[in-house]
Amino acid sequence: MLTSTYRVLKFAGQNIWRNFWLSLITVSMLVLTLFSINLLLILNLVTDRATEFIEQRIEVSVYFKAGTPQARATGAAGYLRGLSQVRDVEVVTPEEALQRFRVRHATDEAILRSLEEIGRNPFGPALIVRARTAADFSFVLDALDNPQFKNDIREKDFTNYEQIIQRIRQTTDRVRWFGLGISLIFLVIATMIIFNTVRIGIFIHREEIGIMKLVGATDWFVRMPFILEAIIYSLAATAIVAAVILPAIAGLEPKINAFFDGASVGIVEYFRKEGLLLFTIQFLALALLNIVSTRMAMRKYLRV
Amino acid sequence: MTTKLYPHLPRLCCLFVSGIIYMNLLPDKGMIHLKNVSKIYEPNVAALRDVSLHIKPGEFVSIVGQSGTGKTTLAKMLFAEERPSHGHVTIGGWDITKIRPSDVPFLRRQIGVVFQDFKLLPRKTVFENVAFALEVSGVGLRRIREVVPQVLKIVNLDDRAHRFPRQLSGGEQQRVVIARALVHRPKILVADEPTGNLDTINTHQIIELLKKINEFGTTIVLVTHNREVVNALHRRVVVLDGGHVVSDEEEGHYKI
Repeated sequence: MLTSTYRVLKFAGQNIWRNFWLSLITVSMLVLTLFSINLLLILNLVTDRATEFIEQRIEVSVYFKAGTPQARATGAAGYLRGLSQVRDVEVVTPEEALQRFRVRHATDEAILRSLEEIGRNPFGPALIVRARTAADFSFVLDALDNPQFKNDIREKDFTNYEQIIQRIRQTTDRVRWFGLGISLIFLVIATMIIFNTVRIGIFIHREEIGIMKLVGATDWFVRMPFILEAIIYSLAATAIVAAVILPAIAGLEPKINAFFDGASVGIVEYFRKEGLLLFTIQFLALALLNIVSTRMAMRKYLRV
Repeated sequence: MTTKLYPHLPRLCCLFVSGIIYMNLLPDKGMIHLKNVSKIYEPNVAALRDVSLHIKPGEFVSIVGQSGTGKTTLAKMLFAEERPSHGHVTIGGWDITKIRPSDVPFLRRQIGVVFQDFKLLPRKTVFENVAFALEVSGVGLRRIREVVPQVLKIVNLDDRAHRFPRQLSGGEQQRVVIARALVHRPKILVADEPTGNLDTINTHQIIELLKKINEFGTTIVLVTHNREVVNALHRRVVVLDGGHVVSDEEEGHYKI
C-alpha cells in the first residue's frame, strides 16, 4: 500500500510537472480566488473596527445657559446615566468649560481679548454624552427635550455620526458584494480550469492510462493521481496566499492603525489566533471543490 | 538460428521456472471456455455469433480469419476489454461474463496481452516499460529489480534494458511487449496480430519465443492472419468467418 501510495504521488507529480504552464495557470486562478476571499475577510474586519471606533466616539455636547446652577446639570447627567442607550456622561463645570475654551484658542489673541472684555465667565455647565451606538443618538436627543431641563439648555451640538456610519456601511456593503461577486467568478473560472486541466491530463496520459489498465492497474491507481493533483493545487494555492497575506498584513497594519488614532485594528492578532483554522478551512473547501470538478472530468473523459 | 539468437535461453529460463511450477500445479488456471458467446454491437452488427470454444491449459491455439470476422473481439473478451452480449466466458474456472469492474485488474494480472502496435511508452526505457506493469500493480521495488532482468533475459533483451523504444527494431519492441506481458507470470498469453508489423525474420523470432513460453505451460492464444506462421506452427487452428467458428482442428492449417 505504501509503495502504491508513493507511486500514485509520483504520477501526480509527473502530471503537474509535465503540464507545468497549465499547472501554473490553475494555481494562479486558485490564488486569485483565495486572495479575493481573504481581502473580503480583512475588509470585514476593518469595517467592523471602523464602525466600532466611530461609535465609541459618538457624543452629544449639551450646553446649559450661563448661570444655570451646577446641580441642574448634575441632575440631568444622573437622568441620562439611567438610560440604557447612554454609555457615559461627562459633566463639565463652567470653570472647566472656560479653561477648555482658553486652551483651544490659546493662539487666538482676538478671542482671548474679547473674553477679557466680557469680564465674567460666559459659559454655563455642559454635559458630554456618549451613546452606545449611532442608532441611539436620536433617543438621547429626544430625552434631552424633557421639560425638566429643556429651558436650561442653550444648545445641543452633535455631528451626525449615524449618517457617517451609514455611509461607511453602504460603501463597504457595496465593496463586499462586489468582492463576493469577484470571488464567485474567480471560483467558477478556477473550477472550470481544474476541469480542463484534468481533461488535458487525461488526454496527454491516455496512452499511459490505456497501458496501465491493460497490465492490471486498479481504478484507484489510475484515478488517484488526478485527485491528488487537485489536492496539491489547492495546497499550493493556500500556501502561496498565506505566505503573501501574512507578511502583507503585518506590514500594512501600522498604516491602517494610523486611521484609528494608533489603536490596533487587530488584523494581525486575528490571523495569529484564527489563521491556521482559517487557511485550513479555505484549503479544505478548495480541495473539496477541486475534487468534485476532477471527478466530473474523470467521469466524462476517463474510461476506466 | 534460435540457438544463435538466444544462446542463454535454456539456462536463463530456469529463473522463470518458479512461476511456471506454480502454474503447473494449478493446471486449470490456463483454461479458457466460451459457451454460446455472441457479441452484438448497436444497432444490429454481430461481431461474434454463438461461438463455443474450449481451450485446455497449456494449449497453443491460433485464431485465424479475414478482417472483421471477430478475431480481435474474441481476444478482447478474454481479458474483459469486451463483454459478451450473450453466452458465458470462463477463464481458469472464473466466470468473467459479468465480471465486476473492480475485479478486472486482477484478471488482467493473470493474462498477458500482446498487440500488433506494441503499446510501449516512448519516454520510458525498456526496463521501465517492463517494470511499469509491476509498478501499477503495487509490486515492491526489490521484486521489480529481481523480476524485470529475468524476463528481459528470457526475451534476450537484457543488453537493451536502458534503451528507449525508438532505439529498438520492431521485433525488439515486440519482445519488450512480451516481456511486459510475462512479468505477472500469466497463465494465459493473448497475442493479437503480434507479427503484423514485423518482417519475416522478426516474425520468426517472435513465434519461436511464443512457442518457448508455451513449452513452459502458458496457454497461448494467437490471433493472426499470417498464413506462413499458422502453417509452420502445426498447432490447433480455429477459423472464424462472419463471427462463426467454421473450423476447429487440432493440427490445422490456414484455410479461408
